[in-house]
Amino acid sequence: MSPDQAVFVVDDDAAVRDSMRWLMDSVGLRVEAFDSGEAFLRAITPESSGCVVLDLRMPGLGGLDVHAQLRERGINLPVIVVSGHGDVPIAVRALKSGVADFVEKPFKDQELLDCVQQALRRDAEQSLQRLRREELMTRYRALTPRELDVLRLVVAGQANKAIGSSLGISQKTVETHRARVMEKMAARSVSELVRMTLIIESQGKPLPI
Amino acid sequence: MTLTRGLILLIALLGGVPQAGLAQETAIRIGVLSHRGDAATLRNWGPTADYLSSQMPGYHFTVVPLEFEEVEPAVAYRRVDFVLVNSGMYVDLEVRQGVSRIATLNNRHGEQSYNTFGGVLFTRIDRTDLATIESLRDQRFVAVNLHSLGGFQMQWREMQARGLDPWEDLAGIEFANTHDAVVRHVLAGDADFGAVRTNILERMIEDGDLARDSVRVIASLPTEGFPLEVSTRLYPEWPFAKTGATANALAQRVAVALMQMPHDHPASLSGRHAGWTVPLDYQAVHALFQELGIGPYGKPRFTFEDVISKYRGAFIAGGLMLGLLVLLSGWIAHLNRKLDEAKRGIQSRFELILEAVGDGVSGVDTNGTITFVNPEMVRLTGWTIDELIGRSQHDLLHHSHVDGRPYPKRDCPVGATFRENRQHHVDDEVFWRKDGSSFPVEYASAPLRDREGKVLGAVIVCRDISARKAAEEEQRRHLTEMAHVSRLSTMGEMASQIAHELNQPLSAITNYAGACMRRLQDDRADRDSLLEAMQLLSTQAHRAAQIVRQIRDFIRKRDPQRGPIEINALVGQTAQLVSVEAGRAGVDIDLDLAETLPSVNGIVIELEQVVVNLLRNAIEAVGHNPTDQRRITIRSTFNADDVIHIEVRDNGPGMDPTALSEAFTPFYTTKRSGMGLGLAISRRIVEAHGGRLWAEVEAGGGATFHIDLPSEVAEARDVA
Repeated sequence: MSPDQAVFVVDDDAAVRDSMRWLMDSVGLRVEAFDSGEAFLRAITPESSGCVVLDLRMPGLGGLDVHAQLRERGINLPVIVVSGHGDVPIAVRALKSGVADFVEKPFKDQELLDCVQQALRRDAEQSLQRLRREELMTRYRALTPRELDVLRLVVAGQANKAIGSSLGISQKTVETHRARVMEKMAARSVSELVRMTLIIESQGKPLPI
Repeated sequence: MTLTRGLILLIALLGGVPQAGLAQETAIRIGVLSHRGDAATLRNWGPTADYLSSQMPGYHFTVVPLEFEEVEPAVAYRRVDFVLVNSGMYVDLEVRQGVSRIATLNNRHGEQSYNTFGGVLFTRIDRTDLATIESLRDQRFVAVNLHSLGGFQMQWREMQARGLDPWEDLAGIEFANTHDAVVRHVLAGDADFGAVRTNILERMIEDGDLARDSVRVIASLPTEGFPLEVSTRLYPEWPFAKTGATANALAQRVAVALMQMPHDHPASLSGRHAGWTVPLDYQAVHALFQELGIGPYGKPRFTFEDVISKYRGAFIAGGLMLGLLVLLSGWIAHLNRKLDEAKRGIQSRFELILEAVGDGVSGVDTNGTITFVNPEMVRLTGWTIDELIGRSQHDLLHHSHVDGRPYPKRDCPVGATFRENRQHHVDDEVFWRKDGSSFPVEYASAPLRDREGKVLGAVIVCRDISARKAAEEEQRRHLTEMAHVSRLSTMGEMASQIAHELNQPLSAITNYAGACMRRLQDDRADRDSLLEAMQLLSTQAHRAAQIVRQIRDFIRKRDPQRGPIEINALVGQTAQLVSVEAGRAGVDIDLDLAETLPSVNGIVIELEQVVVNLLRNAIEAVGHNPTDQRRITIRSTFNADDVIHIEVRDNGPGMDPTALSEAFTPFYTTKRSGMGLGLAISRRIVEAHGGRLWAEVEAGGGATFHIDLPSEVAEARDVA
């Protein structure tokens, strides 16, 4: 559990907010509580880390609305939606829209804590991946246009000879570029290079070639 | 009028004229004044009828030549659809028969067209002594017809203007009926001078019927722009007119077709006119009539024969009507005789009626002893006639109330009937049968009096109203059932609200308990914080209990027994019940209750449901407002008429008139969920309590639902 992670509790019921704080506190989790979706959205930033526990039904913005606005702003904090109604269609909709978990009131305290822990782990992983990807992107941006051409064809599984003929350069020049790419990307093998490009792509953005 | 023509007209008047035209076509008849004889009329105007037939598919126009006397009956009896008559007759028909002109004729002289005409006074060319109107004194006069505008009336006006009375100052007047005949009479010397309309002489010369220079026009007036010789002022030409019965749409099409007729169309040429123009003002003709005191403006010096002749059609019709009346009165007299016979039959055999009526009828004397009964009474009670007659009606049929309590004879409305000498009507008692069973009965009991008005007893007419009572009970049960269904549906909607509300404290309790246990397990428990958590937990448990109590109050099975209801308490409880929902929706409910209210007799859960329905609707309505402006007010008041008034007012958007008028219709709803039964059932419940439920839209937005309920006191008084 990273120390800067927080559990953001959004619920219009004061007793629920307060009791959540007690519960999270008992397992050493930090809670930031908000009495409305609007207040929460004002406070949250893309740099925030942790997870969100959202009440589905609140005056003003409901849980799903808050979730949608988070995603619009590119904030990918895992969201747990808590519902007192537990109707299946809403749960399905929530999960389809990318909500991490859906908890029905009344819940067992352990059940909620498990969900929260899982979400925090996911957030930590996401942060790690984000960092890793950012590092890879830095390396990637250091490649010259010719090196990018070679990278693309290497990843596509072409041999040096074929790469040379399709780029109109000698096989020897290809080998030089290829060595530079491996070096700049800090890849020990072609298969690692392929994995790196997949990580960069995995964020849903096309390879910036 | 010849006998044959008269006969044809008579048949026409009686509605038997054969329809001209093809089978599928609508026959349209144009009555044309036949002032120059039928042959000329058909020759001149037949082509115009043909032209209209060709312009208006589906219609077949024919010309019906009419003599002067035939015109008005033909219009009055709707034997013609349109008329083409002289302007004078037209004005007369306009005033008295409601015909209206749709076009005015454009006449033709050579290449020149004109839409006015005048009258001509003429004499033989050799009568040089007749040059002015004054010179006509004591001469013999031949004119077309008393009703001929151009062939008599115009000339009459000019003579009268010069102090010459045609009847007093001339040697005689003769009417020749056609213009051609007038000319012939003058030529033959039967008359000294004649009157025809303009263009007659010119046309006869043109046609070779009259030698040029054989006649001379008297007092010829110079008239600018008018191409013919004329002795009188000018008047608008003949109008084409629709009768009052002719549809305007048809008349419009005819008018358009006439106006579109080219001035050189064969129909125009054969009629020697130049087509049709927009209808002119016929004021000049009105002036003529006024001056002469004829037409619609007075009684001219008609002879009785004239009148007979003019109104022959009406006389015939009148005579027939008279004959019909005689027949009718004979028939009525016959009916009267038959009625008298029937009446005598009824009087002598009134028991037949008693047998026939579907109600039980019995008579009692002043002791309450049965004197007569009808078979229906026997059928209803199960007793035979012999068992009934001579026995006390009350003891036999009326001895107990429905619940078995004895019914004292002194309370019996039948006895009261002859004691008080007035009628009684009862519909909430039972009669007892021979087999010991009872049936609900509605009966009227009227005093039976002799000629002097002395009361002899009473007649009772009674009816078994089991079916009606059952229907009422069924309706009552149905309402209860509907209310129950609606209540369940209301419950269903509220259940999810309540569940959510209950989940809040339960979640909090779970959280607090979990927190305490974890601290204890991890040995991190300090006494003060544990105590604090436990207190918070306990508070939430109380909160949960409170909610459960509310639910129980709402769903608790209570007998729907009538009883006194304290409206303020009911309103308070109901407001408490929906406070959960209201709180979630951010709605404030204000209570403005009268200090003291009399109680209402009714069924608590039903009236509660009405108020719940109204409040839930109001909560929904104010949901359209900003969060800090959602307000509902419940008021209770009491007025001098012992009516308790409850008002549920919201500051929502109100309702449009459609929604307001439909609001109480079953299954009408503007909501996406719900059955739309709430207000319909609410109204039925309130009405079953003898009250009213209605809605009003507030001027400044928002809606108010009003309930009027009679107080227990008022209800008791109304029953008594």
